[in-house]
Amino acid sequence: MSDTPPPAGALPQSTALSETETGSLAEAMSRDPEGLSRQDRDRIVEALRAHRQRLQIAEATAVKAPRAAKISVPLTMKAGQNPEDLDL
Amino acid sequence: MTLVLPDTSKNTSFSKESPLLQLAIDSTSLGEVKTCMRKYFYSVVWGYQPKSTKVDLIFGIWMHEGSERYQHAKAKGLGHNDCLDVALDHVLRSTWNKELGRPWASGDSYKNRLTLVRTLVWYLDQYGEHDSLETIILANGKPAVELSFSFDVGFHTFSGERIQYCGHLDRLAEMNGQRFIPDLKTTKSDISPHYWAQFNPSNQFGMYSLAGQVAFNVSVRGIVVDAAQVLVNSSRFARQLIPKDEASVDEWFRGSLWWLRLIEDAAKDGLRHGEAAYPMNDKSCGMWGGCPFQSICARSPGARQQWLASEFNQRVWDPLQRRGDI
Repeated sequence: MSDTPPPAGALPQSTALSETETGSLAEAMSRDPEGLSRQDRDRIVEALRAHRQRLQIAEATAVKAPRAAKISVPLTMKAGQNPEDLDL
Repeated sequence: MTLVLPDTSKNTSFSKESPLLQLAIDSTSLGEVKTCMRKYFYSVVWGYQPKSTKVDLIFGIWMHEGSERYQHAKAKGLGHNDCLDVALDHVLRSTWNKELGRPWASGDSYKNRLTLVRTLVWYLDQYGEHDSLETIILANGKPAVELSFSFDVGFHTFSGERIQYCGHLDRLAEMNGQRFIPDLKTTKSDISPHYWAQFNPSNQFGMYSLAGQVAFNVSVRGIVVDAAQVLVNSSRFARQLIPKDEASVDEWFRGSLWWLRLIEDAAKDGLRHGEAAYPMNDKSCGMWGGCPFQSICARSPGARQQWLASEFNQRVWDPLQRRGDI
């Protein structure tokens, strides 16, 4: 599993789960959770975080690309933001 | 035609004096009334539900449960990763079919076990650790998470009984000295202004805001909705404040009393006229993806009960016993 961002200017090949992530997740999630250890669950979390990171990089790259598809930014209120600032 | 009436004797939310009269009303029940009286009669009074559980519903319940487990662990002082583990462990176990020895299979490419776990982990990574909404700690020392409420609305029925509103809040939280009711929603739709518009006005949030005031004696500034958009390969999140001031909560409450009168009148007439006392709102049939009872209402009145019994499962919708409003 690689967390390294792609070289500058390179377009990401896929935002799907990598083979390693898929294997790691599939293996852990196909098992009875009774038999999963904390380490097993940590691996699930790691794989999902890596997937998210790669997706964010891909989106950032797509935004910079000249003919990138329009990406909506749904965050209207961030976790630490005060609702008072929204002028509601 | 013989009049067949539902047996509500096992449903603690219904009157013992007048068996069709619901006395403990949650926002789901009231919402059904507002949508269509016949739908309310079939789904709440009779307790009919489609044989296949809606994926959206069960997915939402598990997201709530995971998030609640996280908040409880956080209130105990555990660190983010430990809280996340508690939530993940719960959801993994909940979505495991012990009888079949295999994971839950939703048959849905958007909402399935993997996307549930992914959405939960990403959501808690984003809003869990550094959330400016801090869960209120109740006087008993417990975090204000997964709060059940019921309170008398001051409505006296023809049978001399009193109606109460009831339900469950995700949690009560505080930010900059102001109180809010956070709520988590999952959707496959785009989180657009159109999406947010559905929450104001809102039957569910009207009742929640009232509950904050009456049941918990907390004057809330509004509902903070965390929306999780679940896609096949990704999940996106957004947060929005749905403001509620006292005047709008009061307006919601006064309006709700009008609907209670309909419930009362129908419960009285229903003993003599059955479903005829619960008129269809045929303008609602196609809304929100289509009413599950549309095919029943399309049949001749005398044939409906037989079709309901064969096409639907029956359960007891008792808001005093179970969680609704996801």
